[in-house]
Amino acid sequence: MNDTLFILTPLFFVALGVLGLFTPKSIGKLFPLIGVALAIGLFAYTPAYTGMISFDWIGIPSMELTAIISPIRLIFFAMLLLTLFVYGLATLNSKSNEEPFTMIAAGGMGIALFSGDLITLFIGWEIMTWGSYIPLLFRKKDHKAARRYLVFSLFGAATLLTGIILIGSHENSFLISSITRESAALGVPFMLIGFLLKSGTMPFHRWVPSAYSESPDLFTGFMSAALSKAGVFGLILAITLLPISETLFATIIAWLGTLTSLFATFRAIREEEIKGLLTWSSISQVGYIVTAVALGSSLGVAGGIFHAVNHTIIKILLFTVVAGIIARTGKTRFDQMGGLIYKMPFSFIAVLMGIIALAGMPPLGGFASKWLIYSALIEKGDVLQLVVVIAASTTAFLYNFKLIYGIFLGHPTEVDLSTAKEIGWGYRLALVVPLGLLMAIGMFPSALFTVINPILTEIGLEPILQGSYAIITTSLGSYNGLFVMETFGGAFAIILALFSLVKSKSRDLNRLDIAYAGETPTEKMPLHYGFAVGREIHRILFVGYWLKKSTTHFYNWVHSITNQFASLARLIYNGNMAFFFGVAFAVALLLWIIAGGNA
Amino acid sequence: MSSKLGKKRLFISPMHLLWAIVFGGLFFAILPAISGHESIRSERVGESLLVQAPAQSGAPNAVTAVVVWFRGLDTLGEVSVLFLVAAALGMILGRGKNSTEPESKPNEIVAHAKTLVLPHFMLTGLYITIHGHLTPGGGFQGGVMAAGMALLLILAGDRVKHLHALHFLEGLVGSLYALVAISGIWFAGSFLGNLIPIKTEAFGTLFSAGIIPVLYIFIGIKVGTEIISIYDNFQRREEA
Amino acid sequence: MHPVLFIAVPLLAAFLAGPLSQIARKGWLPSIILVIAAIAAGSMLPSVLVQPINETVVIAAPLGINLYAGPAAILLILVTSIFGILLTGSKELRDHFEKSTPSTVLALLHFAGIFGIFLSGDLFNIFVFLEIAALSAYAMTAFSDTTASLEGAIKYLLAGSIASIFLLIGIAVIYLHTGTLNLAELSSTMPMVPAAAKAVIISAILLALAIETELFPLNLWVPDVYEGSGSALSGLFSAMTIKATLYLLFRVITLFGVDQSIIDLLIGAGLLTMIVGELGALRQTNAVRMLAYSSVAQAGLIVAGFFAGAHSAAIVAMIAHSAVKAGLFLIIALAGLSGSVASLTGIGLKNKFVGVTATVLILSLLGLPPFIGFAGKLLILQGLNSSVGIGAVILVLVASLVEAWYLLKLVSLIWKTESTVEFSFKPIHTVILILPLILVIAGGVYPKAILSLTDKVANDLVDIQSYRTNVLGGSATIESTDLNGGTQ
Repeated sequence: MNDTLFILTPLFFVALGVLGLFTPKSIGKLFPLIGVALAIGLFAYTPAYTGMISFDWIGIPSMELTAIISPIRLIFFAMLLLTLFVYGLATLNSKSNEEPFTMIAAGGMGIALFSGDLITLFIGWEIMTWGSYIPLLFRKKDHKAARRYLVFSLFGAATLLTGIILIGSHENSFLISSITRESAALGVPFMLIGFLLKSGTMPFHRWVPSAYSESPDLFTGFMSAALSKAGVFGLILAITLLPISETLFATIIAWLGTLTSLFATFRAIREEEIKGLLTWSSISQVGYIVTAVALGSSLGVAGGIFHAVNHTIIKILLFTVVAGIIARTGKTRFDQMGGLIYKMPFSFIAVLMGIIALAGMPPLGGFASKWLIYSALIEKGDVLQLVVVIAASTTAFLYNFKLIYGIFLGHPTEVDLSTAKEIGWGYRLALVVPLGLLMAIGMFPSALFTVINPILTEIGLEPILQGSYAIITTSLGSYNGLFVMETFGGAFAIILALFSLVKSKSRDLNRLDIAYAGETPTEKMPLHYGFAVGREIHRILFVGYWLKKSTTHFYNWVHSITNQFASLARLIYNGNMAFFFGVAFAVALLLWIIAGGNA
Repeated sequence: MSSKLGKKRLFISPMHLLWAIVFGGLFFAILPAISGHESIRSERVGESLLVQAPAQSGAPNAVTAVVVWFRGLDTLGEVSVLFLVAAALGMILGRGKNSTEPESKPNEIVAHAKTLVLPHFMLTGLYITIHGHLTPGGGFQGGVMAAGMALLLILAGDRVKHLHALHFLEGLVGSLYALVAISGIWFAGSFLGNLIPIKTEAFGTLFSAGIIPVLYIFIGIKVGTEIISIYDNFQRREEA
Repeated sequence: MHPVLFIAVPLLAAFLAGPLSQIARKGWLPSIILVIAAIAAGSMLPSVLVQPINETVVIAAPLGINLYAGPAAILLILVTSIFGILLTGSKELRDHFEKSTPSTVLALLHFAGIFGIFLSGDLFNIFVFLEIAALSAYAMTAFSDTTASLEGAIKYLLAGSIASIFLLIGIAVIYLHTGTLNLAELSSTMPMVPAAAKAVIISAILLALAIETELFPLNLWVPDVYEGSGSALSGLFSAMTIKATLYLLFRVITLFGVDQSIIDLLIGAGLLTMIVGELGALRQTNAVRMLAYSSVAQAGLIVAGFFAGAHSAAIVAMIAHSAVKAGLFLIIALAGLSGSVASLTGIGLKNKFVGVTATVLILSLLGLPPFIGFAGKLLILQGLNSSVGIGAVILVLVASLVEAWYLLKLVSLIWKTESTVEFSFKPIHTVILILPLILVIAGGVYPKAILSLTDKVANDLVDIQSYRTNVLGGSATIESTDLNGGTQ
């Protein structure tokens, strides 16, 4: 009984969420932390790495709900918990009131992760979907984004359900463990569309930017860091069910991931909203993960999971900082920001570390996962894909630079520096954990293989054995994270020391110091150019062409076609009773013929 | 003018002609299917009932026994339909209308003849109603006759003065009907069961057929009152 | 417990509506009758699940009329009366009832007719009750004295008359060839009917029932009727009336044992109804009309599901649909009389409970777990997949997406902050919404509880042999003319 309690944690999350609807806001805000504490407590009480529990839900033996735990489920659940923890701390300090629904969404995702059968997976999937839909309604703006999010998600769910029903009717069982190759070949392609849609892979990414920009700021972090991982989990599940690595199908998915990473990077560079930039960055990063996982090799899956862990940490970090800044300043665009480093040094450092990791630069954790992905691509021999991924990764420096420069450097435009304060204590407290984790992963990258290797074994791949925690070894070579960290740390310390020596001889410029072609710039004139980075990116030959392409047209076309069908339907419902009589008699005739009257 | 219009309309849409041909053809196609005397049951339910009705119900008029008793639930339903129609008309036509003044003066002849005709009407109606189980006729027919009497009075310029009394009677009789039927469940073994014992020795007399005459009286009054209230609703108009 | 009381008591109450309205003031009389019906059905249900009650009226079937209170009939009476209460207890309908006694009479007769359809085991008797239910529905449509309302009533009358005529033709031909109208006996005699006659019977009866169950393309009148009758009445039609006609369709078609081609046709018609209904609802600006289309679509899904073999799931979907539509129509009625989508703007912020209920009901209607709509839809989809193929599943899911698009528009409006709409309802009027909310959530979290019931119900509907045994007795044969059973 004790070891089953942990499996039920997602249910407790949902229960906490429902309870939160009826409790005062101040207590409801504590629920994410309580949930995390509960989960960790239960796990510490009975550390179980495998386990299973079934529940006769509907009275049909083949449709029993089953929850299991296994290494892969645990690592994704750990990502969820981390996100929830950071979110829970930060939200104590915010004015938001979506916590109960966050808990419901988290519980839904937990159910989906712990699912031992496809029905449970679908139930969790849908609870997660509508649980995350409702916070989108809290924004005072137009609710179109919320509706678009749910309709897209329902489309994904519909394909998922189609696949599930195909598999279930073929196997006469919904258990994941009992799925065979043949039934998987029937159903998994359908399910994959649902998974790719949730992870925001192009061309199913249309809902992501609007949903992220319209959701409450902290909740966006939760969506990006945790919920998008459900899609990745599904993808890993799919390649487990249907070893697709050799098929054309895998190539298509890998290329979708690759192209997503590239084009989303372009869009991120052009973005003017801070959250928008992070959104596109998130889409792009999940693109890498999809690419890696779709390779289907040990190295690829390991790289994908590693990158998923990194992405969770980085995105919850960056979104939380940005949410804190938006909460403090009330500004959301780059051209309104600037110069905040003077007032928000902690945020600056957090963002700096975040973008170093995001760009995949040593010495932080981001490098290890990107390196694994590159290695996997090289190992596979997909050179063209490698080139695109590296191009995307390099281009990503631009938006990373924009992120930190636009917010913190230069001169403030609309932000009043005299009143600006560091982001709230809750946000700062929340950031400590992801920052620490980034450092730790940077120093001991292969430590993560203690959890990745069991996963690789679980899904039937060769584990990648590692010597020490600091040294990460692949077929292509190895590098020592601790050494790199020491080197970079040393260099950083020396430069900082030199800089502070010189600092005393410099002074800060103010607005009047600047002669701007003979004019003194007015208050409204932005004096930093961080916000303008990438504004002209569409003038680059190839990039501009693709930036003009958009799936919007396609979805608008679908929308208009549906509306035309709707008009057609209403044309029949014209309220003309004479027409109805004609139809009735015609149907009578038809029925008579079908019933065999003319025989 | 009207004939011209009619002629024109005949040729407006050839579709109508087409429909007519199609359904005419269909009618002849299904004609063999809906004619014939053989039934799968050796004896149709109705035929069996007719044979057994007199002995079981004590009513010489077997049709009445079937209508009021064997298939009494249908009849209760049909009475309800009539009641329903009266209520619906009352609701729709009665909105904002409370004047009962006649629009024009009644016909002199009708006004005078009513006193002459009335007793005969009434007596015939009554007779038909209470002899429903013995001779052709019954509550429906008798009720309609009573209502015809009311129509005559209305045409003669009279108005339903005690509308409340009418509605009270309507409700009372209806509920008595239902109550008698319901009490059959406990006192006579079945819904609409025979509360009054059947006197087989008095077969063919007025008090032989158990509750059938009682029910027919209820039905008669019910039908009569419903139709009167329907007339009443029709002749109401908005107050000037 | 005597099933006939379900019919007789509402009739009695209708006849006594005048005096009873003085006791049950403020238009509560129909609600009280429904409460009584619900309690009676609830108390009967456990015993009926074990042994169905077959009540004889005067003379035993097949000669007389029998009322068959099986699990299906009693459960559906229970469900429809519970969710009928929501709407008869609404301010909108109670105002009508209070204003005029005829309105009360019509509502009570409507209930009597619906319960009669559920219970009766005789085809002509069913016809009579269908007429009572339909005629009262026509008149009820004209409750509010507006042009739209009268237009709706006339259209309903015309469409319903066609249905009645065809049903009567069908019944006449049945009687001509079989000599009986008892459903149980018909179940064994129908296969012996000559093919040509059977074609006439099936086509006539199906046409009538397709009009009554609002299957495409025989539902062209539905939106106008719902729009004209207003939100509360539309809810009543959605929650009660369609359920009775659906039950009738299932009962009659299963007992008659029609060919596979007809079953296929019904599945196809159900699916077509669903997709056309959802498309019709798209971009509607009148909330009542929108939900009317949605009801049509759901009825289509239920029909398709039932005939695709997902019997139990279809019953679950019926129950779920009753709950959801009763709740949603009640909320529209609370929002005001205009019935336009815009009149709902911000109702969720004015009253959180209403907003949450509406959202949950809509999510359930979309078939999202953990609400009851999901269980029903999942099983229906499974049934469709195994008997039609994956194409049908995809069609239903696409229709659901269209449905999501317009229903989520309602959700968005419900939670919209900038509202200029004034709401006049009191919190006490919303308490009753707890009923559908509980059913939708509890049934969704643990559908086994409901499915264990609906399994028996579905079995009651499809197990022709036990129906025949229950009605005609153990040694029932075609020639059985035992007369000593009924009347003593």
